[in-house]
Amino acid sequence: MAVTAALMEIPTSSLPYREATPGGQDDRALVARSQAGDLDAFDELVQRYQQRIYGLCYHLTANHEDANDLAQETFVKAWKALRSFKGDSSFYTWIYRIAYNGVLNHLKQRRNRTPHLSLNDMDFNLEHDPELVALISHQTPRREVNLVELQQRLNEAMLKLSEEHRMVVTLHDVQGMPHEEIAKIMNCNPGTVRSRLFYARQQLQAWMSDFLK
Amino acid sequence: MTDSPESHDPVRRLLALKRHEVPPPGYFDRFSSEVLHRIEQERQAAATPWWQGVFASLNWQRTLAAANLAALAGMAIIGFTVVNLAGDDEPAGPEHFAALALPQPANPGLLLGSPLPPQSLGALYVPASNGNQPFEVLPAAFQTPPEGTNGESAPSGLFSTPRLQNLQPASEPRFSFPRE
Repeated sequence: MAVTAALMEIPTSSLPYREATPGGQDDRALVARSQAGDLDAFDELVQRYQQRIYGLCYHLTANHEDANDLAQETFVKAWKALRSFKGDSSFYTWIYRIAYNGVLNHLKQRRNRTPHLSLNDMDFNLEHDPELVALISHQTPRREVNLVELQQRLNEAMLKLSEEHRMVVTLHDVQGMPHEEIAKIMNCNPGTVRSRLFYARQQLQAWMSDFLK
Repeated sequence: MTDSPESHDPVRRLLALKRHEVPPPGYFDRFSSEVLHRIEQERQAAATPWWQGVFASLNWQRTLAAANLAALAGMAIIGFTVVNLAGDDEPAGPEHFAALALPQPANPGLLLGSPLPPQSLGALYVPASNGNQPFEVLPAAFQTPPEGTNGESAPSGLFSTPRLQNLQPASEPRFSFPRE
């Protein structure tokens, strides 16, 4: 429970979704300008959503290079399809759907290959968070376990989940998105999202039991 | 679902670690410019005619190698075809039948006395140049070398034919007229 206790200290306000809640009104204006061919407006939209889209791609693929390609591809596809965007849903729901479908296609093609985790390409801000590091290192019963190993095990466990379960966990527990928004993106009802989330956490808890005692 | 949602708090907290997995510093500073660059590239690709796109995407080294191979293969095919056509158009000459001919005896005179059956009609002997003399068909078994020839041109094989300049249709003697 030591790691858990340490992680309890993470403020929920740091969730990316809540850090930068998508702006509906601003988005509409930017989307309208982008639809008229204004690349500067689209550039602003890209900057607004790049971290979340990249994060989604990364947490679903566990590979920095793949995530980079998929995130860029998502925005290029969005630009091409922008004229067909009617505004029935918010722009961020729409672009999340594009990213999700792109990642699903990528994972289907990759299914026969062994997934390559690219944690070395990542920068762990966690290591620069002295408060959290101190909490973990003092309270965990497995002090020999370093953070990178923990991340590695966590990512391996995530990859064992199905794409749908991984998506729900990523959007809710990592990115902090509400069930209703996830349901819109995944085109299902919020009850399905909750049940998927419950099952995914149960699985992860079993696989990560060594670290959660 | 025997577990309560609260029992998943540990794993939820653990998943929160993933928020700290971020790309290298500066990555997002250039991300949007890379996206815009790709969009510009796609715009240009859409604006150019398809054949220019194909032309631009060609790998010239491979293309040249493939063109060389194709040229060599084409030349080989053309050469083979020409040789075959030439072989088909050419009348059955001595070279063609030489392979089928029986071994030529050293002394043609011996042929007359050979125990072989008379030569077939396909092996008619036609003199090389008889002037105005009509051709005469003789059974192969009774032919004699004409005067002025040393007998070397006489057909000796069962299926052999005279030289090309001497080749005449077999029926010609029957309806022939004296040559001028």
